[in-house]
Amino acid sequence: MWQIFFVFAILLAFIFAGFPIYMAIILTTISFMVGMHLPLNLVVIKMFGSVNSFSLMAIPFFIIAGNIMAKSDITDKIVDLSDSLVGQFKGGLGHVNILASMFFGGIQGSGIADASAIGGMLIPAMEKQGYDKDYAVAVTAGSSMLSPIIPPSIAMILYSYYTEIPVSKLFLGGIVPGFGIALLQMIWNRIEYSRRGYNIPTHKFSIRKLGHTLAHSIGALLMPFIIIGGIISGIVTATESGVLAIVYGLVYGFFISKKLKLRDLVGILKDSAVTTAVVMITIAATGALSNVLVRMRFQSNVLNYVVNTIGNPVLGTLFLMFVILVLGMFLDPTVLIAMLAPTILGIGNAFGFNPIHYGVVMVIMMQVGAITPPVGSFLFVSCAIGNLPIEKATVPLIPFIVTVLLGILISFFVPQIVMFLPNLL
Amino acid sequence: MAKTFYVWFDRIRTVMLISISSFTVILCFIQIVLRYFTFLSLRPFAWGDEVLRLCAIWVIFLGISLGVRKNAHFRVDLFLNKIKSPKARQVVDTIIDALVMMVLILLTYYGGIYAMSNITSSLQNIDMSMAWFYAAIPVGCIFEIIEYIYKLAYGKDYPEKMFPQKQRVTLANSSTK
Amino acid sequence: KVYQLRTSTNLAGTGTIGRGLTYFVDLVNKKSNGRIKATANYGAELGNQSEQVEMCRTGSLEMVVAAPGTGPGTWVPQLMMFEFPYLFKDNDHYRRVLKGMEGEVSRLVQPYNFVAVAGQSQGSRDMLTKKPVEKLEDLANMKMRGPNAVYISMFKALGAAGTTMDWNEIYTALQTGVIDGMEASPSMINSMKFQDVAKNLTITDHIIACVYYFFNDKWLSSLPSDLKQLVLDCAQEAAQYQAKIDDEDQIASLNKMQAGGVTIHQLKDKDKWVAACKPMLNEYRAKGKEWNDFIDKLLAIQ
Ligand code: NA
Ligand code: NA
Repeated sequence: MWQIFFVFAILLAFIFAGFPIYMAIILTTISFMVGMHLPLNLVVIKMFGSVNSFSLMAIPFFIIAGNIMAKSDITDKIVDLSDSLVGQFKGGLGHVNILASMFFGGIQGSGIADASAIGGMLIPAMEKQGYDKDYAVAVTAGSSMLSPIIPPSIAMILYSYYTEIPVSKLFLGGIVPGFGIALLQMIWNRIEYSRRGYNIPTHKFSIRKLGHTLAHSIGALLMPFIIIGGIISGIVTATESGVLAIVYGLVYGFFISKKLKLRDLVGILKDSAVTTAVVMITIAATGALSNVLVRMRFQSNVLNYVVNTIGNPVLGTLFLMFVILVLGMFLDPTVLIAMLAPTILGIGNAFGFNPIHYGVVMVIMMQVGAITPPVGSFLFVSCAIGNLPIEKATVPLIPFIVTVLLGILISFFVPQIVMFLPNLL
Repeated sequence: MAKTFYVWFDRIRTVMLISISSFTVILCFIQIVLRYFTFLSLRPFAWGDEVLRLCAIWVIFLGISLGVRKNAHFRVDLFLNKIKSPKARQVVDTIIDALVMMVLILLTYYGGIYAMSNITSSLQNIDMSMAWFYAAIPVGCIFEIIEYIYKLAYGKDYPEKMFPQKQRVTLANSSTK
Repeated sequence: KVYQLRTSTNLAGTGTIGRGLTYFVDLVNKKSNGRIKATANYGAELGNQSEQVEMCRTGSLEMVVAAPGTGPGTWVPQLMMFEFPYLFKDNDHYRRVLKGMEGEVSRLVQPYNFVAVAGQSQGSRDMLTKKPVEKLEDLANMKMRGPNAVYISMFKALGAAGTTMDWNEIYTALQTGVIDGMEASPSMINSMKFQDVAKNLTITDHIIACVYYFFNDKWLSSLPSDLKQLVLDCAQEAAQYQAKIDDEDQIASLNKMQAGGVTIHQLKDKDKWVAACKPMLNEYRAKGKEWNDFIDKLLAIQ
């Protein structure tokens, strides 16, 4: 056990010394590989392999799409419309961000696709309306958690693959916690709106104004419909929908709004490549680090400690959650699930919990890693889109992390919240 | 001389980046479209998925060097910023950059061996050497090393020194971080 | 001296290959009286299959459980022929082929520092579709997901539209209709619960998939001869164990699917399916002398 904390201590030291985070991870990995007499080519094998994944393609696609949308005034139009829809509420666009993630989460299962699709549209929009950038990024990252909780969910599918728990039951188990967390986040959004003293002018809802905006933004509005419609109707997968968004963005920018110039594309592609690269190189590095942890037989140590040393089901589970939270600060959910799913199942069974209940709670717990600094893919995508250093996003993000932890604890202590729907079937 | 080299280096990288990333978008779009033209006995390419993923890896490894120039890599400089003396700060920065370059040289070496030992290996679904894709690691790392060399030689604001006036404006706008 | 035997499979520890590996590791630890310390990793813990194969080749694993075609097949592409439509009669025939080809596969992968032993079948593969399929015409122009080029050519030969897609994307793709169907062994389908979103399973038995235990050659030759023999014997014993549980598992998976509301269809015109795939073999024979020789050797084993 202690050697694991040693790994993270070294990693933290490199990070706070000011190394780029991916370098800090690689340096830590290399140090331990040398110590464990592993051939160093393992670093490049793992870095290459960890990003050699089709699901990750959602990142470049949606980032390009987002940049095209911003250049071709789709973003502006979406602000106008959201404003005329929810302009009467305080914190309108924040709510829109959370609701959009809930809706998008209901049709696809990747938080990365969520953060890049919704962030690409709404972070610039929120900034334009007067929200601080750090808060816009935090809402986006925080609510992108909803995609892997509300079914369908790639995370739950993976968990089911490693543990053989029916994925349909896990899916159903995620619905109520997902909606609950969304509700908590909207409440926080409203509180934060007042706390920050935002005074974005509200105005009475008017059908006439709505109709007017609708008529003027119909071309831009087709964008979310094309993404969502493309997925629902089975034309594209969630990952591929990013390409539909790019193609429609180009059509709109060149022929409808006429704001996009051919030479803009060079800048768009270059900027998108940098954003993609800084996010994905960190994921690549994390893959190498996780290999070191797995080789330390970290999982069986945790299982032993939780079941045999702690022994108490509630304390043991809380400790397991704490371990996942700490691990999640440095590793991404996909990596965590591959590492820990069988261990979690083993611990849950040893303590006599319902495997579906335990699985759903722990899958959500592992997702938290994607938004906890210093390393987390949803956080990185949102920060990269918002062009914000991660430490600036940390403080505004904490309440969103708390909403998720709160949702997890309630779901753990009140099993009916998770089990209500799966039991109906 | 050094400036000319940098300008050309940057051009080549831009051309590579733009052509590879537009290729991935176009290829993925064609794959989607082809699924719907089965009546013309057109079929999606079996190699589509694989090539897409591997092209994205090229984008990543080319992009990281551009990320150095735009200072876009995630980092926590909380403690670095506590160093008040500009001289001390520069020493620390140089030490960090030198260490990073050492790691990059290591990655270039192992990435190079990885690519070389895979020259005869082939993609699953098309007769093309995997080495083309593993090569992204050493090439990307060498590009990044070049950026760091310029950074060490010309100081933090080296991008502005490398480009003529006109380009400097757009550059400053695009790197607000 | 204690020798380290680090092994890994990209398949889940709960499946028959995974359980077989556990059996192997336990057996080696027991029989070697502590002279070999064997450990196993499952699923994607260490990485995907090609990463694991590379780790084994370069010495950060001593043995990897991999499919010949998609594993070391990156260097020796003709190993793909183990997964070819309608080439083998049934699972028992297939297992005889795997045993008989052990030497030939080892010879082919030797330049890449591998030794292949203990070939294991993963069961024959069937098609899971949203609409029922009972005869060849039913499959016409259906969008079917297959793992690699051989499967895509097979679907083409059968008149369907083959498409590749990430294993993790299949569930939602079936649900929304991006694809009309997919193919895999019943136990693979069951492990991902694809039957929740597609309700028709046709027993096509088109392809059987397999794995070998690929040992790092340098490591294996470094063992004292008694230990080397012990490791190889344990591998064979594990393969026998896997064969036994796999047959049971395939049946159990079919039953589970049926209980989950899946309709099982039998082919009414299997001859047509076999005939449609026949020309494929000549295409692959034409790929070169290595391919042709390998196919001859495969077909020679009855
Ligand atoms: Na979802
Ligand atoms: Na994290």
